[in-house]
Amino acid sequence: MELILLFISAAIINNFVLSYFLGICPFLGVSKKIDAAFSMGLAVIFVMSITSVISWLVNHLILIPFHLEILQYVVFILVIASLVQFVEMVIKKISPPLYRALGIFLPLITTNCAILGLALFISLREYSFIQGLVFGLGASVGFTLALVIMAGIREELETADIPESLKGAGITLIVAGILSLAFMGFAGLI
Amino acid sequence: MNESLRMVIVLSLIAVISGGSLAVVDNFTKPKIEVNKVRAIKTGLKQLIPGAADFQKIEIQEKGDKFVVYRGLKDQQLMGWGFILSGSGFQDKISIIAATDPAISKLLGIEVLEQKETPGLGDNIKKEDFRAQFKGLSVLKVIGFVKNKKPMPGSNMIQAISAATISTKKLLSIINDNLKRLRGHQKIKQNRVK
Amino acid sequence: MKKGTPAFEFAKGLWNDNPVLVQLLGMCPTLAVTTTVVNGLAMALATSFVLIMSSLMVSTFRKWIPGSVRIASYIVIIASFVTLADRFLAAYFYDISKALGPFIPLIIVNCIILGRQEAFSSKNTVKMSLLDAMGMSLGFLIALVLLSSFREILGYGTWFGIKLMPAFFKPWVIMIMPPGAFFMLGIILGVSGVIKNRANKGVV
Repeated sequence: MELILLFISAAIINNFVLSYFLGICPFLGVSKKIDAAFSMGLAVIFVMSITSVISWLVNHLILIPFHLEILQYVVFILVIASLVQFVEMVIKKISPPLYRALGIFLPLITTNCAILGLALFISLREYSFIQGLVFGLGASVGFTLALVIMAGIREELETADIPESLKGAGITLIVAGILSLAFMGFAGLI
Repeated sequence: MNESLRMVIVLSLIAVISGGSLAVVDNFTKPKIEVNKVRAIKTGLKQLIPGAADFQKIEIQEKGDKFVVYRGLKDQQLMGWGFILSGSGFQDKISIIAATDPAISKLLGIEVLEQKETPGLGDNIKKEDFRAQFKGLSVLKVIGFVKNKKPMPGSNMIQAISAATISTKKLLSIINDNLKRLRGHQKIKQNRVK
Repeated sequence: MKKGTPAFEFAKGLWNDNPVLVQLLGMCPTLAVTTTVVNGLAMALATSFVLIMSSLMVSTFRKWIPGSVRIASYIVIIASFVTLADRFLAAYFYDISKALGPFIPLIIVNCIILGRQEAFSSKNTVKMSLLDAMGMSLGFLIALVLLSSFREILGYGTWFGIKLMPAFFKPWVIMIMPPGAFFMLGIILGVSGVIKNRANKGVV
């Protein structure tokens, strides 16, 4: 039960994009088409689930026993960067169709702050292994949800008559504000 | 020089230098950060438990949850308890100190350590006049709340923050549920008499 | 100003190539920590420290770092300076460090920093790289202070904690909550767009 609540909280109430502002760059960049947004979302779900597992293991099996917490940030970012590279290589080998779908989005993920944010939150909030994994899944599903909804709105926006200077990032941010306002309605759900 | 050898050398050199200098920084800042971390709790405890000068930390494991409890002492005599409690609020985690008398029968007061409730509404839980309502309430009974009016004296209730009923409700359940669990705990009973 | 002159490399970050308002980089901290001016300023200063120090290191050692491992090297350098800034804030400015929370370590993935190393410091002299880093830092600071000023004044009625708005003013709570950040930045981008369009047409 607690895990379900954790999942809902991470996915909807404390949505990474709309209330923690993590992963804004891909949110603004890759939200023009629903297909692309969905593929990006899948790639993020994939990488974030693995990250939550690996970062937990690195933190609890290496950093904490050896009192190397000071190196936490350096190690986390290196782990994430190499993880993304590794995942890219593996997908390319075992599933070329999946690679074609996710390929271009994978390198972008390294600098997606949602991934490092996830690893930091899991360590900061002292989640257990299972909690960390559920939190990672919830957060990435929430990210995908926000991204796909945004893409849906932006596809419609293309035909709308928007003031010249608001075109592009300006109107996207304002729409994101309205979305974030809508998601605030979920607060107090649990 | 071989290109890949150079790669390895440069990378490990950077890693060693960064690791080494960070170790120095760690040694230098760690004690200060530790002091900062407990400072908020210590000042809160001092205000809530009058007279207590020493605080003894007890860690309790209860069905998979970890709790930190402080005994407030003065000349080896128990003056009160400080319970560090946390739970989900309206937006995010709320964590508080709930201080009680030595018998754990009534509240001496509460202090909010961490909260991210709605600014201007839910975050009024940290305001002095809201918190003052908790002083003297019984923890043997459930603490309740009423809306938009002063509670009847002796009803063991507080007045909820207007437009932030959920924040109030969540805060109360953090206090009610956790104190009920902890009151009868073995470790607390052992420490109560001394 | 001509491209390549010291003055140009410094000034481009302020407006024409402003990292936030024009390049749309580093949006996460820009939106997340700008609830009060103090937080925004602290974030900008911490980021500036990391950016300037990293640029200094990268431009000094640019000839020794092999191309194939340059990104990994930059990341380690940046992460080390971020850890340094994080511990310094936690030790000496605990309240600020708590208010900014995980957004201090997230400076590591602020695209502005890695972007400047890759695009500028790895190819230019130490002097130019420092000027570039300072200009970008100042541009980032301007954007953060601008956004946080609007949000604090409207959301709390204060600026730097000083009461600014008259007593009858009812604070717009929404401004300090997540949606307010999106709205305000959207509006600021729109306004800067208007100014730029006019400048291009030669109206100003």
